[in-house]
Amino acid sequence: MKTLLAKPQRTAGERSAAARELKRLDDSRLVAAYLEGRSEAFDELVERYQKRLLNFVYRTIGDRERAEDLVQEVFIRVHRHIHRFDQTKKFSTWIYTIASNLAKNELRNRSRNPLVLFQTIKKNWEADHRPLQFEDVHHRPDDLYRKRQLRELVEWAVAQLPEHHRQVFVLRELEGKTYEEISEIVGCNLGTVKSRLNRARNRFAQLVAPYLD
Amino acid sequence: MRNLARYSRYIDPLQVDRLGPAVQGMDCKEFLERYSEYRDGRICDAEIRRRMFWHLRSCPRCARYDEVLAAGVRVLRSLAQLEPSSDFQKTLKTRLSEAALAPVGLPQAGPVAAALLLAAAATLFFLEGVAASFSEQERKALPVVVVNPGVPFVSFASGEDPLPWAVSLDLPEPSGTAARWVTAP
Repeated sequence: MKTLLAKPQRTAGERSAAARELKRLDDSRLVAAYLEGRSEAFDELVERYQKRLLNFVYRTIGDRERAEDLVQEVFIRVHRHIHRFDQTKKFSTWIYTIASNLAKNELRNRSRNPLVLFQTIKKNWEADHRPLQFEDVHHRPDDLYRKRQLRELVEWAVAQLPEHHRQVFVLRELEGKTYEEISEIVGCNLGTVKSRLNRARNRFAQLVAPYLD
Repeated sequence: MRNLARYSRYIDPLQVDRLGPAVQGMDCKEFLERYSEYRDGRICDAEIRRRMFWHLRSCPRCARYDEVLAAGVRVLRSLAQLEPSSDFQKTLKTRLSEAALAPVGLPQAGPVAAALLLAAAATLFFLEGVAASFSEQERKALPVVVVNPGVPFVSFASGEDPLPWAVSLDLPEPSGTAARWVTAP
């Protein structure tokens, strides 16, 4: 296995220089570097995508711990199949497709398993009842309270969207993906992406409108 | 029409009327259908873009929709991003090493397994054929079952003597039931 585990016999200076060099490479060059035997390239891919994928999967399934678990699974699959990745395509689209499929499977399994669903609801319920934390002492508490309420509101509004609308909405509004990329990630045609995005935006606006006056 | 003052982009519909047909002719339904593409800058037709723009500036309902969506998305983007836990990479390394210790070539096992299955099936087929050819020599004809509903298979007579009249298959077909026929002689 030529990955994170490999320990190159180099000095710390050399290693940090190599890491800096890898940071400058785009994804496709990183993949090529990894396939040529530079194991640190995979570390850089993990570094680059772990946070983005974690937030994407979390927004889709709404469970932080499970999201982290799934993101790890994404990297394991990437590692296993990277030699089959078509390097003419965009790496980010490929890795998001894997993450999207895993998140969809998770939701499907969860809908079949009421216990998991209950645990998620319970966890969210407990989070809702945590005491207020004032992040910024320069603001008035009522402002902070309103801000926090707004944040919770938009999070709730996203969670209310149907699964296939939510994914498209998150990919567009939070991940900044193009329609073509979304179409590839979600596995549906461009027309469906447009219609789902339109509906998701409409529903989201309906849900938050009463609180934004 | 409430809160109109909040929308700086809103203009009086009368003003739109004065601007002429170039900015008219778009209703809210069409606007909302095209809204997502407009928001994402995907409308190439300059004429449609212009009509969208003026509809947005002249329709308070659509202006509000645009404003609410933009505000909601702003709040959503301002939410704190989750950070991977401190042991994320460590756990990943462990999981990757476990995956590496798993039997090598598992993903390629498909064709091999298929070939093995085929070979097993061919062997079974061959063995079955050989066994059948050997057993053919020892095969004996099974007794033929003769079905004659008229002939009684159970004697209702109480005596020890067998009923010689009942074994003959040459007897005429009885007109009544078997039981009646047995008791008749």
